[in-house]
Amino acid sequence: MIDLTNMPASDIASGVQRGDLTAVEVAESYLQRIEKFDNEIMAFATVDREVVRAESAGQDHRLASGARLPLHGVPVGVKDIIDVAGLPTIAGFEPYRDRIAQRDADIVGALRSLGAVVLGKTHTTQFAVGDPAPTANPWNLSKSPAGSSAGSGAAVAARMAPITLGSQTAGSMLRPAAFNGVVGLKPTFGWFSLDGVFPLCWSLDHLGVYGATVDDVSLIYRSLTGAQRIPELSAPENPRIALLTEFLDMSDPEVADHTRAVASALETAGARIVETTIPEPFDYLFAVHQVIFAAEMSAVHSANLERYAEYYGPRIRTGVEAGSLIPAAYLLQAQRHRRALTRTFDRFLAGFDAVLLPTVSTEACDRDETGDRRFQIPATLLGAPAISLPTGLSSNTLPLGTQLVARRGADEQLLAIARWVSAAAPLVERPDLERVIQTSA
Amino acid sequence: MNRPQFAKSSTPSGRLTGGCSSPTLSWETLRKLREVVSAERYVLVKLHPKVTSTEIAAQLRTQAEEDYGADRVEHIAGQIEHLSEMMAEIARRELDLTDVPPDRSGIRDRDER
Repeated sequence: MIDLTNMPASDIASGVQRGDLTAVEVAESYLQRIEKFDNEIMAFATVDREVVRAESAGQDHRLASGARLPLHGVPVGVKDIIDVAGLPTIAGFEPYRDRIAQRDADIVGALRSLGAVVLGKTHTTQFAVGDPAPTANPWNLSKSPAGSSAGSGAAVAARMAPITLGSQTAGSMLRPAAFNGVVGLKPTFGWFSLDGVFPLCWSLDHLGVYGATVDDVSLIYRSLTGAQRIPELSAPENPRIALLTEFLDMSDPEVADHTRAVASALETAGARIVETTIPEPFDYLFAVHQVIFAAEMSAVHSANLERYAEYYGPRIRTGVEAGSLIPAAYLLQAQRHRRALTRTFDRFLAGFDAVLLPTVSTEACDRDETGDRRFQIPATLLGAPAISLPTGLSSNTLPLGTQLVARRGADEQLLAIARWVSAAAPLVERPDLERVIQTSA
Repeated sequence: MNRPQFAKSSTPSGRLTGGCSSPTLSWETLRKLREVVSAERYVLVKLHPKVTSTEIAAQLRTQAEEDYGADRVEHIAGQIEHLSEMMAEIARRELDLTDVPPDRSGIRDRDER
């Protein structure tokens, strides 16, 4: 059987639509790859092969009935805090092992109605916080795939799924994209419904999409938002891009050098690069995020922690306990500051087609941590769309990510700029997993 | 938890009189009682531009001891220190009193979006 796991999602959909491929063939290729490699990578928490086969056969049947759907036959991995009817939503929490979802989350139902096939549930850190997931980084098995969307990032890098869903409340979409060397999009706050998603912090939670290319995540974004009915935006000929220098100063030298090299390549390709700093101090944004995050997380989890303390990981447990100590006035004041910051940054971001910074301050860290979340937090706090592109490799052959952020609501513009950037600064290919596993043995 | 009842005034001799008819208390007993009360009492972390992270951390730690016990406090000490720094940063940055309300979207249900 032909290995279809290197095929872009858009080619899978068009191949199935034309009848060159069947959804069953595509799903079978991915199931075989999961079977072959997931004992090493541990990207998936749950895969029900018979359900996948039945669902893909159902999509072929819809095609035979005349339906031509934008995601016809595209397999999708779903982060295990997002409900998929009939599968457990474990969320990395042992007492939930048999907590079977009765219906699909909104986003899963939408993907299925667009022709996608759910492959399974991908591992997350416990409740999408900081205790590492069991997943290994497909570039180096001793390294972290980051978190919290560890399995979703690793599954795309390992070619176990062409598309996966993740979530971000601090840096959980973009950081796994950078560490695993894939494209990760976190749209504007509220763009994707959170109905059927286990909450972490109601005012900060975002859903997002991973893929191997900008075109693949753009296909999913445009299909989910209905934007496929309108022409795709093109980047301006000479996009105006801000390089945020304070983040270079906070990065490892190799990361800073890489980001400058990307900016230089973009300038050569015609971009107007403006070196600048953000309009308010980073420490201010970070503080506002951290207080809201801790207080909301505590509100979500305090009662459950009382009941299941022994099952909670040490990081989330201490976070919930400390967060419950925050006085109400501080939370309210943090929310006011968030609004004030959002106004300031809306004006700042409107001055550029996108701003550019490293996705993470370092290359992938060891597996007992999930990495530095600081650089992903501004876009989360401000609700602005952000995308991470795998623009290079470190001297240790680990991926380095470049982050682009645009003003709230300018998701289509961000995707157009990202497509332009990925042509000017080509993205790294996914790793040779067999070689990585042999090297690690 | 039952709180100790205080006498409302005291005499210079160090004997407490007044609001309660129970036996009078020495200054030393009163001091100890106040320690007990402050440990179990709500912690007030003022939202004031001059408050320091050290002051906030001390208050949060006291509250944590009450809520979780001394053993757990050792586990969450790092988080308390981190949050105290974040809270001090927020307190330090003043907003105009009448500007920028907090997010009020909590009054809307999902269906109303």
